[in-house]
Amino acid sequence: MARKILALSLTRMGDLVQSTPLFAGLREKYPGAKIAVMVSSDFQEFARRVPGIDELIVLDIRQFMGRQPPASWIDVYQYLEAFLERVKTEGNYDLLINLSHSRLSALMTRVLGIADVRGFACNDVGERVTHHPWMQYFGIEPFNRRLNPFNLVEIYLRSGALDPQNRVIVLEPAHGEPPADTQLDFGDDEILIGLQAGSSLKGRRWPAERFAELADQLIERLGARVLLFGVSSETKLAETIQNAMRHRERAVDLTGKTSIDQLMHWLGRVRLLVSNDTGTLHIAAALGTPVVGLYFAHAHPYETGPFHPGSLVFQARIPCAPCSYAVECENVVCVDKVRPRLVGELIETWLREKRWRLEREDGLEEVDIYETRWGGDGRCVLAPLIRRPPTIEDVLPLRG
Amino acid sequence: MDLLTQNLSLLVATRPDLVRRVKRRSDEGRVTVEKARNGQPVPRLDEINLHSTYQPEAEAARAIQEFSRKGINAVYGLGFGYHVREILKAGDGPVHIIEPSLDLFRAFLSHIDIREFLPRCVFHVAEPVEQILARQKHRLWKVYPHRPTLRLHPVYFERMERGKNLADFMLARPLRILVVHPVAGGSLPTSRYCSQAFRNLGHVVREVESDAFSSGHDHLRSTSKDPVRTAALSRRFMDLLGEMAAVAADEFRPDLILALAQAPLNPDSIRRLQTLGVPVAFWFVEDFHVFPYWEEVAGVYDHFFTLQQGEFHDRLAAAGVKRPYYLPQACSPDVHKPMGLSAGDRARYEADLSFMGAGYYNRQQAFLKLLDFDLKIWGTEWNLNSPVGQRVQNDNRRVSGEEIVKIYNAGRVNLNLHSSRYHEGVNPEGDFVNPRTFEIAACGGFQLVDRREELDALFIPDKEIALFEDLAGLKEKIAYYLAHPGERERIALAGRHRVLQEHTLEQRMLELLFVVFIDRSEWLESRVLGRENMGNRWIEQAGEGTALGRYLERYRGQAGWTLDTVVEDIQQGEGSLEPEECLILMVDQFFKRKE
Repeated sequence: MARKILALSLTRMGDLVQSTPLFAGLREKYPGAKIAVMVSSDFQEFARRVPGIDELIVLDIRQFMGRQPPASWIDVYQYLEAFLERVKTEGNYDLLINLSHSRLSALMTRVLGIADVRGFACNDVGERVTHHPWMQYFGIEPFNRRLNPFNLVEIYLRSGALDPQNRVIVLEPAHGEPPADTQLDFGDDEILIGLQAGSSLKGRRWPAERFAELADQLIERLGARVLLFGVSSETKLAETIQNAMRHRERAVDLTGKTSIDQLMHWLGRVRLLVSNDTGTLHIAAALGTPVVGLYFAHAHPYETGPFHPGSLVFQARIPCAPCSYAVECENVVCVDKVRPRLVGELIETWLREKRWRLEREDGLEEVDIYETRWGGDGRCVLAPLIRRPPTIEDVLPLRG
Repeated sequence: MDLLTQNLSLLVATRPDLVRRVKRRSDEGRVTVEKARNGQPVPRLDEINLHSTYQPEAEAARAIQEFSRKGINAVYGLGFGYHVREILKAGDGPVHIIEPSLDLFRAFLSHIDIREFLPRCVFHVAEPVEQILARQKHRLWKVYPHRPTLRLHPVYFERMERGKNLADFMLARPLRILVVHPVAGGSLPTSRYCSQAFRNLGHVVREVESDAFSSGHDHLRSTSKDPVRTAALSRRFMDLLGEMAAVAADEFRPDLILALAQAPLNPDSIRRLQTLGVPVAFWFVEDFHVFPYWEEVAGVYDHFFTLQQGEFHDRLAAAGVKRPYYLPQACSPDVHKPMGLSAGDRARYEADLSFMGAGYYNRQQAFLKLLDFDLKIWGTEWNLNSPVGQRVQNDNRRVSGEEIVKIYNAGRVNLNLHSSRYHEGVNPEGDFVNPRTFEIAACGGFQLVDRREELDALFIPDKEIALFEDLAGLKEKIAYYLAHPGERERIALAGRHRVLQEHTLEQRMLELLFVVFIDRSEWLESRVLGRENMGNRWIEQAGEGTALGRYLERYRGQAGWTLDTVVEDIQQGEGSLEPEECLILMVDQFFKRKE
C-alpha cells in the first residue's frame, strides 16, 4: 500500500531548503507515496518552489498576532483543534517526519496520533522525545558541534533512511519574466554579483563596510554590477553599504522590493551570491548559483553550509569559532578575520578559471576556506582550500 | 473596696490588658447610670437606655426567650449584662461579648459584680472589628444582637457583618497579592512569611524579590566614602527597584500590593503603583524611633500598619495618615514548631540559657552579667573580642531559619531581650513585641522576655509567658526556672497554645485584608467576579458540547484562573496527557513564542 507521509517544517526558510533532498529521496523510495509538508504561513509562497511535494499544508498561527481586540487563547485553541483534525482525517498519514525541534511541533505529533514518527515527538507526559537514532543525533549535535561532520541535509536524509549519495538541495526555478517593477536593464554579458548582507541575528553579519569594500573591488577590477538582496528591514543596512561605496551608482538596492519569485529570478541571474548564513544563501545554492558563504558567530558550515558543489565558505580559524549555543558573544572578532580583498581575489580567479583557487597562502592563519564538492563517497562535502599540516585540534577537536 | 476595684482585681488574672485600658480612663465619659423602677442600674448613652427602665432583668429574660436562647455563644452589646446572664444560664460554653464602648465597660464594672460573668465571658471591648474577625472563630458564632447597643453603634456592627461576608468571599475566591520584599534586614524573613501566609489562606501571591539585590546594594553603598554621593547612589538604586516593582505589578495585576518595612519604594514608586487603581499597603515592622524614614512615605500609602500605637499613631495622624492600624508581629507555625533534635543537634544547640539575635548595645552590656550561666549566643554583629563574644557560637555568621528553630527548641531558657541602641539592659519604655517572642512560643520553647507595654494584650504574663523587669530580676528568674522544669513546661505549653490560637501570620494577614477591604468589599467583589466572568466567558466560548468546554468545566466559578493556571495544573497533574491538554500546551507555546 502506498505510504502517506507528512513532514513538519515549521522553523526557518533555510531549513525548508535543506529538507529538499529528503523530499526527493522519499519520492524515489516510495514512488507512489503521497508527500505532504506542513509549513508556517510565512513560507507559504516559497514552499511552492519545493519540488516533489504533493500537498502543502499551511499552519497560519500568525493570524492571531497583533489582533485588535487581542485574540483569546480559546480562538487559538479552536483553530489548532480544527486544523489538526482536518490534517488527521483528510491525510490519513502513516509516517510523520518532524523536521522542527520546537515543543509545539512535538506536541503536535501527539495530537496527530500518527504511529511512525521520526524526529521530535512527545511522550505521555508532554516531554520531547525522539527515537530514531539520527534524530537523537540531531538532538545532541548542538552540544558537540566540533565533532560533527554532517550537514543538516544529511541528517535529515539519514533520518528518512536515505543514502546521501549524489543528493543536493534543489528548488524549482521561477518561470517567465519577473514583474515590471524589478525589470532592470542589464546586458547579458554584464557581471552581476549578488550580496545578502543581512541575517536574522546581528552577530552573524559581516560588517556593512566590508561588503562595501568588496563591492567596490569587484566593480573596479571586473566592472561588475552589484545587487543588494534582503527583506524590507534590511533596507537601512543596504543604504549603509551604498553610502560606504565609492561606486554606489553600480549598486542596485532590491531589499524589501522582491517577492519570492522575483528573488529567485535574480538569484538565478547573478554569477554568484556573497552571503552570510541565510535562507537566501540556501535558495541560491539550490538554484545552482555558486555561493560565497560567510559563517560567523554561531553559524557553522559543517551544519548549514550550502549543500551544493561549487560554492565557497569562509569561517574564522580561531578557538572560539563557532560560538557554542550557550554563548551570546559580546565581541564578535570572527567577522574581522575574513578580509574583503581575499574574498574579491578568489571571486576574480573563479570568474576567470571557473574554479576556486588561492593565488597565495600566506597571511591566512586565522581563516578557514572550504569549497563544497563531491567527496570520494559521493557525498557533498566541505574540502579545505588551504592545505596545512593537521594540528592536534584538527585530529582531536575536543576542547574544554 | 469599691465594686470597680474589686472587679478589676478579678479581671486582671485573665485580662491584664483590659484592666490597664480601663484604668487609663478616669471616668465613664458620656455614660450615665439610672435606677430602674425595680432599683436595678440601667446605663444610658446618647439618650438611649440600654435596658428597660422598669424591670431590666425580666425584660431581658423575655427577649432572650423570644430569640430562642439555645446555642447563643456571641453577643453584640454588653449593656449591663442582664441579657448575658440569661444566655449564660441557657448553656455552659464560653460566650463572646462584643462591646464597642470602653466607657460603657467601665460603667459596667462600676455597677455590676463581674463574678457571675467570669470565667465564661470572653470580652472584646472596643476592639477593632478586623481584629475580632481575624482572631476569633466567628463562623461558629450564634449571635444575639442587643438592639439598643446596635442603635448606638450602627457603623461598628454593620462593618462586623460586612466583614463576615467578606470573610466568606475571600475563603471561596483567591485574591491576587503582590508582596514587595525589603532588600535586606530583619523585616525580610517576616516579608517572606507574609507571602507564605497569604498562600496558606488560598491567595495567589507574587513576590518582588528585592533581596536578590542585597549584595549589590551593599557594594553600591561602599563605593564612596562621601555620604552625599552614597545617598545619591542609593536614590538611584531605589528608583530602579521601584521600577522593578511597578513592572511586576503591571504584569501580575494584583488586587493588593503589600510592602514590608525597608522595601525599596520611594513616594514616586508608591504613587506609580497606585496608578493601577489597587490599594497599596505598608507594614512597618520597625521601631519608629529608630527608623525615621516612615515620615517620608507613610502619608503616601493607602494603608499603613504598625507595631506601635499611642504616640506613633498620633504622629502618623499629624503626617496625614488616615487610619494607621496596629498590627503586632506573629509566628509562622509551618516553620516555628516543636521538633525532635538529633544527638548532634542537641550537643550543638542545647544550653541552660540561649540567645539568638543581633549584638545590639544593650545585649552586649546585659549579657556580661550572665556569664556565670551556661550561656550560648547565636547571631550577628557581636563583639567577638569581648567576654560575651566568647559565648557566640557561630562567629557572627548569619543563622538560617531552620537553625533558629533548633536553637529555640534546644534552649532550656530562651532569653528574649528586646534590642536597644543605648540602654544598658531593659528598655523601660519598650512598647512593641518582637517576632522572636511569638516564634519561641510557637516552637514550644520557654522564654524569659523583658516587659513590654503591648505584651499583656498578647500573652497572659506568668501563665503564657515569663517576664523580667530588670537584670537583677532576670538573674533570679533564670535560676528559678532552671530549677523548676515543670513550670517551664507548663508556661511554654500555654504560650504555644496562645500563639497558635491568636498570633499566627495567617491571622495577621487576614486581619490586614479585612482592614484594607472591609470598606471596599463591593469594589473587591466586582473586581474578582469580573475575573471569574472572564473565565466563564472562556468556557462559554469553548462551547458546552465540546471537549474543551467539558475540560474547562472544572474551572467554572473559580476566580482568576487563566491559561497559566490550566497549564500549571496540567504540568502538575499525573498520568498521560489528554488530547485537550496537548492542545492547551500548544496554545501556551504559541503565546510564549509571541512574547
